[in-house]
Amino acid sequence: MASLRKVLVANRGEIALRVIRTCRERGIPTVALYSEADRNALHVRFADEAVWIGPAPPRESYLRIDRILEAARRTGADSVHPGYGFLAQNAEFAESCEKAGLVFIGPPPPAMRAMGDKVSSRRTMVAAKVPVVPGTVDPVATPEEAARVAQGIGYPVALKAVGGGGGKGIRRVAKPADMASAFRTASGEAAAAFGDGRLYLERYLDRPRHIEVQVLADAHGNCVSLGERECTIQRRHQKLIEETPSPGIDERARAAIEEAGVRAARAVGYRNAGTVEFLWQDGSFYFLEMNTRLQVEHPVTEAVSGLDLVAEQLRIAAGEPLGYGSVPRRGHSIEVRVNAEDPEAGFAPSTGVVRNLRLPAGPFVRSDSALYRGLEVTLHYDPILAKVIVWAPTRGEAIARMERALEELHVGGVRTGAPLALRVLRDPAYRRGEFDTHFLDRFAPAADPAREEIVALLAAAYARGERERAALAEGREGEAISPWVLLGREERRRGRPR
Amino acid sequence: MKFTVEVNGREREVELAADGEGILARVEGREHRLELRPVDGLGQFAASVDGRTFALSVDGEGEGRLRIGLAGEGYAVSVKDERQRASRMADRGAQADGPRVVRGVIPGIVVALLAREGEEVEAGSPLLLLEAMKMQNEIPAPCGGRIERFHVRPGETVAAGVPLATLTPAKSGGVR
Repeated sequence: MASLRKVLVANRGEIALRVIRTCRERGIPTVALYSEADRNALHVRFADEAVWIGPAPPRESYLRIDRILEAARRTGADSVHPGYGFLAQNAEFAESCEKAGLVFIGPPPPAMRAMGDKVSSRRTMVAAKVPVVPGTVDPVATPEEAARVAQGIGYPVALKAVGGGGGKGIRRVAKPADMASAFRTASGEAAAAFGDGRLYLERYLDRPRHIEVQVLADAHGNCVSLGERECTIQRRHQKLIEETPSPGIDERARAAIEEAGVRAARAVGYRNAGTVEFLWQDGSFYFLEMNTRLQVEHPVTEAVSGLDLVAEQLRIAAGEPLGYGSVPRRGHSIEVRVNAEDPEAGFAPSTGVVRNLRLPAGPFVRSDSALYRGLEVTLHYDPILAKVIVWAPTRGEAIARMERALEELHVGGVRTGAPLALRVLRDPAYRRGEFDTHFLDRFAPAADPAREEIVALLAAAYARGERERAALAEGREGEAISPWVLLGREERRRGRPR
Repeated sequence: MKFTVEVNGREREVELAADGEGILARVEGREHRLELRPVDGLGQFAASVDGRTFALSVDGEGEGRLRIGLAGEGYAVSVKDERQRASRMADRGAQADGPRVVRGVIPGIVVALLAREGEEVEAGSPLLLLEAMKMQNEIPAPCGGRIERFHVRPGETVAAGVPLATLTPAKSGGVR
């Protein structure tokens, strides 16, 4: 089958640039889209063509299916890569592309729909014998019935609101004696919040790990696993550090979870790149959901497999067979997400203009970054600014390499989670591979007074320099030549902005 | 010259002097030799302390507040010289009964004002609704009192730290 002629990238930020880079390497022309806020973005500058699609808010630009299709028509693109986020998991968008005669570089819409809602995906997985968290899908009517069912599932159990979401109407029940009161309060809370007091039961996983399987499936019935990724270090269900292989499972468990991932993908007739997410606890794993797209953390899989996953996506979309039955993996890879957020303020979003920027480099370090000096970070979009990925032969060496890379990284003008990630990498429990999804909630690294003293000294010297500079600017150069005056002169000679 | 430097919440007195060889610093009875040279005019510095070299990053956040990056770690720093320290102390004394400016901690979009100008509110009662990253957050009154004015309108995008409202504290109103 003929390869793709021109790819429209229906996304922004680091992932748009990531897709464009592979297309350039393959000699495939690209079309970037940009909102008003992204006029100067890197993905615009590195594409072959760029089309304006609306004002900054996503619903007026990156989520406008009509404008995206119009851009494809005008530029003569024959295919669309959705990246992650925005319309990547929107089956209607995939269908609209196909109707417009465009190749959607992703799964078939029915597979997206089958994995798109919790109830149907859970039923499909049960039918395909992929393990799910034990529990009831149908509501339980009374505390007595709940206690009966809980006995079969095993304590602790979670009572969850049928109409629920946002943490309301959820109770962890540790033992039978607590059931009656937990049932009453959870039901009352659910009734107040959702107008529906019905509850169902699930086994409560109190210290799960998040382990996911990367699959690739072609249009010829081939489906392979590229191994698992450990994404347990998260805050508010947002991943911060990802790695492969997982330090928490052995070879037998790895084979079982990979096999389940492939089975899940096959069960919905999957095609292209996808990720099957599992929760892992006490030697068992349970299907969580399938992400029917390229994942943020796909580069760690690329690092150990040597495959370019975007290139594989393009090949699969063009109808080529995978051409391999299994993929050998080598060494260890870690990714740290550099998000615009303030870990010291509950991970609140951080905005500002990036002026002061230093990205890491050196052996086996990869920066997938949308950052540039002058970038204005706004509230409109996903907070991912960059990802740092390292590879090394062993996990210990990979951690040391990532520490070194993060020591080189500086993003000024906004706060990021990178300093927190560095502290996690230095934590003994993390280094032993002992953690669960609540790790960050409990994480309280100790201060380093010796380091803080060095910072205090240099901050004072900086402040003194600023004062000298101000005095110079006002022509109050009284003192004899001091080190600070020299500092000020050098700055002035260089024409210091701000 | 003496500075009071606060790093991640802990204050230190730093005394700086220049001699023929550069900068000499004294902190908590210890002496250190410093070098600090700007590299690109954008906040990168080549620094050394007692011969140990560092790549330092400094981002000014206004009013003597700095964000310092050193070997991948971020430090919230504030630097005051003796004069600034004295005037800050005086300010604090005078401010107790004056109007209080309510500032947002996070940037966001103002969804709605939840009170009216001129209204008397209690400490903790919601003043306005701010949306950030699809999460809505109520901004509460830091103390009981009268709302002098709102500085923002619904639909407006605000940065972290900008004034949202001004309150005149009630005489008996406790500060939260």
